[in-house]
Amino acid sequence: MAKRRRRKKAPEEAKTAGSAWWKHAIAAFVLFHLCANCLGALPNVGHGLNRRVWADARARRELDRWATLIGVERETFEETIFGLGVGYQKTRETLLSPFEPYLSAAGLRQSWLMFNAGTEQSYRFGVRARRCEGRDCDWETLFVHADPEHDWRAAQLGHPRVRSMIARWSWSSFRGSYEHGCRAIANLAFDDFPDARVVQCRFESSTSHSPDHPTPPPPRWEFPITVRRPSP
Amino acid sequence: MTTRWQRWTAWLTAEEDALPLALCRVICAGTVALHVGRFVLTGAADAALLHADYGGLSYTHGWLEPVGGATIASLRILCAVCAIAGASAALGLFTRPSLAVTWLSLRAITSLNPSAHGSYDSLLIDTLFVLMLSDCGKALSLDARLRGEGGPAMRWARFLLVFQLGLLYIGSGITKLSASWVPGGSADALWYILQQPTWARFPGLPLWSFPVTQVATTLTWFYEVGGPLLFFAIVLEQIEPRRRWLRRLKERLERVHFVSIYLAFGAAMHVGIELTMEVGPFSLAALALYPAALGPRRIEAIVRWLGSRGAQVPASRSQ
Repeated sequence: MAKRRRRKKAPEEAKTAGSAWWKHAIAAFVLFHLCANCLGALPNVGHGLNRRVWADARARRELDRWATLIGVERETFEETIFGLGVGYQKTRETLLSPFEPYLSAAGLRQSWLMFNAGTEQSYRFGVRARRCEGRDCDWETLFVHADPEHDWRAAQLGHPRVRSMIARWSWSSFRGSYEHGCRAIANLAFDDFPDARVVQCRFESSTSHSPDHPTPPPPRWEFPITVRRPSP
Repeated sequence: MTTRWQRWTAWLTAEEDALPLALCRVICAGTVALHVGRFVLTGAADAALLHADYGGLSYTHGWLEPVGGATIASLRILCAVCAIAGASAALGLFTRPSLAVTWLSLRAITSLNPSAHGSYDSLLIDTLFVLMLSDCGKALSLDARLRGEGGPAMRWARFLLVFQLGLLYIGSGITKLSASWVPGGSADALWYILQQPTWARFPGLPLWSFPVTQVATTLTWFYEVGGPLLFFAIVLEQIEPRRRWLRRLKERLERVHFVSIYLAFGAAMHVGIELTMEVGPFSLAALALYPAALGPRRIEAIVRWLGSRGAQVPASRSQ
């Protein structure tokens, strides 16, 4: 009897049980996704722990300001935050490790480090070339970012993705990428200007004006990398 | 515990209008299509993604390694696939497969040069992942119109997108630990950021605008740190809390129109970013999540208001 009753209700039960199973799976997935992404959003300070970067004028200014605000020596402040940073980063990695395979497989990243500081020092990328050799030979400016008069390959070099890459080159920790990238840009220039002999990449360093510094020093060019046309 | 779990399950799987999810899909996938299309058409993709072995700026073959590396042909095909799949997903044609291809191909593009990326990539990929699993094709789509696949959507995906929006803002806010951002500091972060030649649309700011940027800096910081409150406010709108303090919080947030004000400020902030800075499709990627935060009720009210405005215009013209 019981068997017969169960058989009679089977299609209805299967439908309900099936949909209920999916609902529980969705609820479990959502909970897992929330946990994984909450932990994934803990800021990754891995790159910030590179103390070579701390020597950069932009980072030094920030460290000076915080040390002054707290009222300690900069060296003491640096040591303290480095220790805290290392400890934090280890804890973060431990907490995140169970969720890392999921985040990695789904391509989920929750690192939202964007414009985390305003710095009075800024850099602008430029490219120039020489079509001759010798002391009297002048440089010819090909490209300066956001300069309509020097807009060689501006659609490419000014694209947000390329700009984002180039902006990183002004940091000492990206020196290798800068050298490699400049060589690639020089090759483009050699293609476009068959008589160009030398190409140079560089950054214009400028100090923004502000109420404290209404007349900042004039901009100067820094970090030049010179690439000669390869001999045929 | 069992009752709580059942309530959680029932709440997440409750059905609602699919329009907010569909709008998220249209903006997100449309943004990918336009951005990647422009990337490849301007030739910037050739420069940024081509491997150094072939004269490009990249030094990794990324996901294209098994198919012969990041050559001009392979990276152009990849970008074209991404742009076409994005357009198809925005139109709602074969919505789920199109979203899956957009999600995968955008990840493949970002693997080709890890330096040539922006936060918008992560945001778009995170959003596409949720949309791909959701019922976002059930409205504003060719699938719904031509193949009769329309209908309501389960709430969980919209909930995850709102969560993503809150996480984006708090994640951005807590990394703004600079003395130039945090309240009590110099509040001059935006003053300097808006003058960085790499990102700024205009060369310099007049000195009189310094206090304006200070106010904007502090407001932006509070706004971003308040991201989780937006998430809780939206969740509270959707439930009838049993605890007294939650009921009070819900009442207060509703009384001050917290969600509407927060989203209006956010929209203004993103429009402001777009007008003053060139940061790629970040603002659109963030705004793609706003329909989820607005929810069916607010979107319906906006549509009704727009409809009434539209009806008034011909009437006034005929007079």
